[in-house]
Amino acid sequence: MKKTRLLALVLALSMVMTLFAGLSIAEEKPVLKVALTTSSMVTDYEDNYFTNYLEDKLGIEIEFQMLPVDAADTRQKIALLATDVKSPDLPDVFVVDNHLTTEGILSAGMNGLFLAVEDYANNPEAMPNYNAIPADDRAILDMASTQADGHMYSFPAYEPETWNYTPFRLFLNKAWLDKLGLQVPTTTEELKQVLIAFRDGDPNGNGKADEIGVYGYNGGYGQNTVAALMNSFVYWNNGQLNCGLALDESDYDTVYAPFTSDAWREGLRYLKDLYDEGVLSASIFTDNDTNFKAILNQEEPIVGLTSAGSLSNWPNAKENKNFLEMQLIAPLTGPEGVNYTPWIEQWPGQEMMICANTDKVDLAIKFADEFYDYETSLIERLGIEGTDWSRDPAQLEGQTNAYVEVGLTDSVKILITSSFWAENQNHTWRNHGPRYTSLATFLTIFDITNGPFNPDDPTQLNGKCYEQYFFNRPEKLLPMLKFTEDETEENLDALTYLGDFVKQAMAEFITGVRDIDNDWDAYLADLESYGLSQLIATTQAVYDRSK
Amino acid sequence: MAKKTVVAHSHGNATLGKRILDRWQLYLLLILPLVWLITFCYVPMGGLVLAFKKYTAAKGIWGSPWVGVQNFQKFFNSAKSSIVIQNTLLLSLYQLFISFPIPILFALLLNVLPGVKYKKVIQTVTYIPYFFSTVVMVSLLFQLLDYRIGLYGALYTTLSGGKVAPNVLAQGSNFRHIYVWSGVWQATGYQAIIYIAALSSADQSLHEAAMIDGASRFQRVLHIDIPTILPTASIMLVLAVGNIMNVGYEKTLLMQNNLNLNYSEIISTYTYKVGLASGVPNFSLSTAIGMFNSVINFILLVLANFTSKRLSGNGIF
Repeated sequence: MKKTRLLALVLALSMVMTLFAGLSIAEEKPVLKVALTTSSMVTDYEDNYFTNYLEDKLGIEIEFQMLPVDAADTRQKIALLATDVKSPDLPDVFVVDNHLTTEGILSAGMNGLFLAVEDYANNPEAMPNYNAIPADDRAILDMASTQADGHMYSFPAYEPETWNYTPFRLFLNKAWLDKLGLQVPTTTEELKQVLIAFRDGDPNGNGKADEIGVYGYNGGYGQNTVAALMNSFVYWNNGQLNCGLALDESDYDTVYAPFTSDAWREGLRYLKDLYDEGVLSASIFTDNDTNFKAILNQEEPIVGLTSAGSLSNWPNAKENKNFLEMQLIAPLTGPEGVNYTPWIEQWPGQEMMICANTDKVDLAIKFADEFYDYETSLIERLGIEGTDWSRDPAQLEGQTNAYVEVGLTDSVKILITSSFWAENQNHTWRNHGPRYTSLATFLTIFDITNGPFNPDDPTQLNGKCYEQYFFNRPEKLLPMLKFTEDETEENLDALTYLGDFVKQAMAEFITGVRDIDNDWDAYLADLESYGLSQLIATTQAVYDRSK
Repeated sequence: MAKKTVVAHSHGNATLGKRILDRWQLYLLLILPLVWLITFCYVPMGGLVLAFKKYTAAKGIWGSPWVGVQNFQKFFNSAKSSIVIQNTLLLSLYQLFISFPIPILFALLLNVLPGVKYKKVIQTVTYIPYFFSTVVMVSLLFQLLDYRIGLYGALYTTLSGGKVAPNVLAQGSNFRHIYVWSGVWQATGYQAIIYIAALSSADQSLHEAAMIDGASRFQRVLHIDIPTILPTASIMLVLAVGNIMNVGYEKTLLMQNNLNLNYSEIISTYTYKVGLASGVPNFSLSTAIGMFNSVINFILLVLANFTSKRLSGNGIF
């Protein structure tokens, strides 16, 4: 009996003590609820270098709510959350990894889910780091995050560089060229001859006619090879911005749809010709990422030409037999002298929103601003200094990179020393969050994990890509345009469906389901039924307004 | 036992309340499913009101303005509506005509097979694919049917002496066949179970008598087995028709590509794209399309039930 009492006393005491401990922690550290888009490659968010770094620096406790990895799932989740904007379960801050569309942010903002933050963003006392961004880049950030209703509901990430603008990089099988004694093609016509030679010459030498001429898939990072080739006829951004609309090159002022032009039709004829010759695979229109990588990495190489943004399509590219056969070639010149490549403007992605219902606005703003700090921006992307990256002058001694070689910058200042980005890790949130680093900073970074810079290394393509691709675009491009809610409503069909339909029709024309001559008018009528003229008119009006 | 029957009978004319009170244990058991039904099937039906409103989250369901049938008009005026409705009907009818009789045939065949062990093995093997999730099933399908790296491609190349197989996935019109026949592969074993159970309840004396009368195996199937499962089959048909417009949207969505969209865009995938996946979610339009879908389905269900009652005397209501 006595024993039990003693035990009870001890238990009661310890409970009271933990209560006090809990209270004192709560008093010291305010809790910020962060809804974060997860990444399958982050092993731990609680015990995470970046989480701890933020918590220590800001003196807060972060409480996570996990958002789905998938963009469509995230949109769905946010759309559902927006149905009850007063819910006490809402987080203070959303970090969405650029998964929401402009229209989605505007709609959630006007519905009262997201806080309008422009007053804080323009106040150097509230957001010192954001206000320290150089004026030119700051203008881009403000423009990208200001919605059509004049409010800013989100904090963007902006990390300009030269590589990601032109992901439609063409890779041609150089080993096959050499074997058949051919020259690197520079025009679409030469390419056709090369592909036919590939088809007939059994360049992989296995005695089977299994060579694929042109291969790719409708992926998000430059894998749509037909889009790359179409740009030898007319400029088209693969529908990745403004539904693929562009500025007419005669005045650079009129909005038009490249996919209704005669040049587009010529492009279709060329691609159809390749298809009929059996040197362009219909798999381009059906395959997914898994097929794509499998075909690209066959035991006996079978791909003649593909377009790809990332070398990671060839695992361990530096020693990958398939990749080593490939050579980056410049965009091909079409019969009219056009040699563009889709230009994917690195618009700041909208990363962080603050919940309008939060009672910790000041803390949330401070939290958002922290991401624009120079050091924090580096850690957010590069990981732990000293482990994953280094600024040690001794290590930097004698280092160079592709940008230094082509004269874009004078020296390397930051070395990436670990390959944690490609591994499961708990060093960062994998760059989910707002961020700013200037182009100047980016150019001084070099990844040393595969050894010092070697200009002959086939995977060191940043400099070559800059020289061959960076300038291949019309003088003036449509900026990212923002529709008001009414404008969105008017163009709902077009915004939902037009982009997909253009690609679908392109596939049908090339594979002969639609006839380029006989069905062209029907195609234009289909586009019209999705509201193309209305979309062009609205886009023109919004563009004129934005000038 | 006898006493209870008498008690129950004596209350045959009693009030409803009293009759419930008498069997309160049964009604207690009923509460849970009833609550489930009301919460998850009837309450959400109230959301159908969205179809007649211009819904914005800020104003809430009741605060949003009424717009009459504007959302329905929008759907019928949109370029996609006719092809989407057509695809849905064709796909579901095709599916019904194939996947309804096949399990019956399969069950009949299995029933006449000798050897219990052998039957059990077949049953289990055909039953397994049912447990693959849709995502796994579809990626399996794509891997198998790939014309270069898949089983299909490899077999074709081997058998044709090195030629590359035609790309079946790039042929849009193949979509329906692949969809329906892969469904047959996945679900036949599972759907056959109910018929196998019905067949096992066939009166053995009928079979014995038929055998003595010299009936052939086929005649026994025709005159004994089929009449035995006919009531089950007609109810299953009514249920299948009740689901006719609900062609699995997950599977369709996963199987879509640029070359088969003309065949594979159906009402449910369209609803999903307009309502949730698009950058500008439009709940009202989505609800209207979904409601249109359900109304058609309801009409078909009533028709099928009526026909079935007329023809075989069996129906679900």
